[in-house]
Amino acid sequence: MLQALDRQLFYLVNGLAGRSELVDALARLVVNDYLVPTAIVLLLVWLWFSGRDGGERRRHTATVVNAVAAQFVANVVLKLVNLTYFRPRPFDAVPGVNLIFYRPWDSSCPSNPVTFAFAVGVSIYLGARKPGILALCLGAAWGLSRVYSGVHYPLDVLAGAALGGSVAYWLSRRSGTMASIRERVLSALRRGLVA
Amino acid sequence: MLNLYPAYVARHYYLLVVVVALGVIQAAASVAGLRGLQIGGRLWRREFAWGALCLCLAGGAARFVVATPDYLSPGLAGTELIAMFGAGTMTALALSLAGGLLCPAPGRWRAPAPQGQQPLVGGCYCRLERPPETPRGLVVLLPDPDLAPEAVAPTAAAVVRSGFACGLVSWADDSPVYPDALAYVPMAVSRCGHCAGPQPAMLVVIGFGLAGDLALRAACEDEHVSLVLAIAPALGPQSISEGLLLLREMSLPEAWRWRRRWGRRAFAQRLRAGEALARLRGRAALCLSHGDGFFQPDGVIGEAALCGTDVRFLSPCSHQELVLKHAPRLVSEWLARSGEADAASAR
Repeated sequence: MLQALDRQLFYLVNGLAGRSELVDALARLVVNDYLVPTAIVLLLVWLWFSGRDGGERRRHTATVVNAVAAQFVANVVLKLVNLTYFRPRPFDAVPGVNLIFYRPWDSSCPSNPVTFAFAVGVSIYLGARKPGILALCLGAAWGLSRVYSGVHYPLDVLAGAALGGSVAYWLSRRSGTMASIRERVLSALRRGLVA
Repeated sequence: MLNLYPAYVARHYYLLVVVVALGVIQAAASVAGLRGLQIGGRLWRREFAWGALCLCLAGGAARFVVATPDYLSPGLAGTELIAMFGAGTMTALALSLAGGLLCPAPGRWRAPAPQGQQPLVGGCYCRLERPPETPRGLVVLLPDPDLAPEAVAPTAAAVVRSGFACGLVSWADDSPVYPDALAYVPMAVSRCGHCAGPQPAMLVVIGFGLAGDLALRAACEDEHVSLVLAIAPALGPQSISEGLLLLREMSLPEAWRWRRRWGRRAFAQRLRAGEALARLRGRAALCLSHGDGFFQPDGVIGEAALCGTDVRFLSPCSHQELVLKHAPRLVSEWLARSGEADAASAR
């Protein structure tokens, strides 16, 4: 039932591919492995150096450390999921897919890029709202473009978002443990004048 | 082992990251006031910084897409992308820090010329400047130990213009040392009070930076001090910056030297200016800015305000701007206001 709905949604979005050169070109700009992840990580660079006073700076640097930790944990969880569950890519599993990207060989679910984007995006959102919203929008656009390009089902994207987002949220709630690790990292970096 | 294949994609990606990270670092430095990271060593106007960022983002992405036809093919994997991103960001940071070397350094330590000055203790001197008319009182001015001695000259001139005699302390060629420093204010009062005229009507102590902490501590132990002004003080060792915030005031090599120059933390800890503030209550006034790169005394401010201390926050500006540009005006205002209050109480 869920898989049928997932396929219907996939056809709905992927069916739009190839109709407009402009939209396809836009999708190619978003779907590739370089531009969107770079933009998301640049938001972390921005946070690291911005902050109008000491309090805001501390909050921002803590957010960056949280985001890096969340990305790392989410990636480990994703690898574990991939070891136990493999879902074939849509272009391998269903007919009539409009593929406008290369053929990734790893498991389709959960979406690896969306897991990364939401782990970082939710971490940023919990520390700094506006850059967080921007990161989440970039992540959502990246996920949508993956479906549009024929490399993910919508459910893969949702699973990736849930996995990345929940790991980031869970880590932010582990305030005691995370705070002590974070403070050690940050005080060492501050002594070296890099934080 | 990194597999940077295709090599030209890795090269183009590295260039993309250098350009966009440079734009982001420059824009963030402009917003956060980090002169030591800003190419040219002076803060860029916000509009210019945002414009440069947009140009870097759009130009970098356009160049990458046009010059890298294989960007939609299987290429660099996650580890390689992280390595290239890290290398590009480090290059952009190195370029920013190199550009920030042009940032003017805060005053180096220089021994004051002893001519016309009254010796205090530990090689310290005090010079008296008097207004032409009978002084309304005596102001003891404690300059910032982290800035050049000349930094306090505009404030001294403002004090004299306000009709007060000004006892200007000059530090020795070494940093203030606890507990010797506690003797500076009483000795300056004793030497200059005698020269300023018979029993000055009003005694004010003004201190800058860590000398602000010293002023607060000295004033709380002397009931004759009617008013103490601390401009950009630390108010405790926890407020002393040690990270990137120092780049608001200077370049990276200067920041390294600044941190090692003298024991600010121990000095501030022993002065316990936060406690002195609670004892001074209405006699103390503070002037601070969130943009101060040397000290971030946010934690103590709430307590100080509760004690009735007059706390004034200026719009974000650096420690040096606060001492050099804003202090003379603020001191004139404070002295005028305290004079009016005195006149009202006399009536």
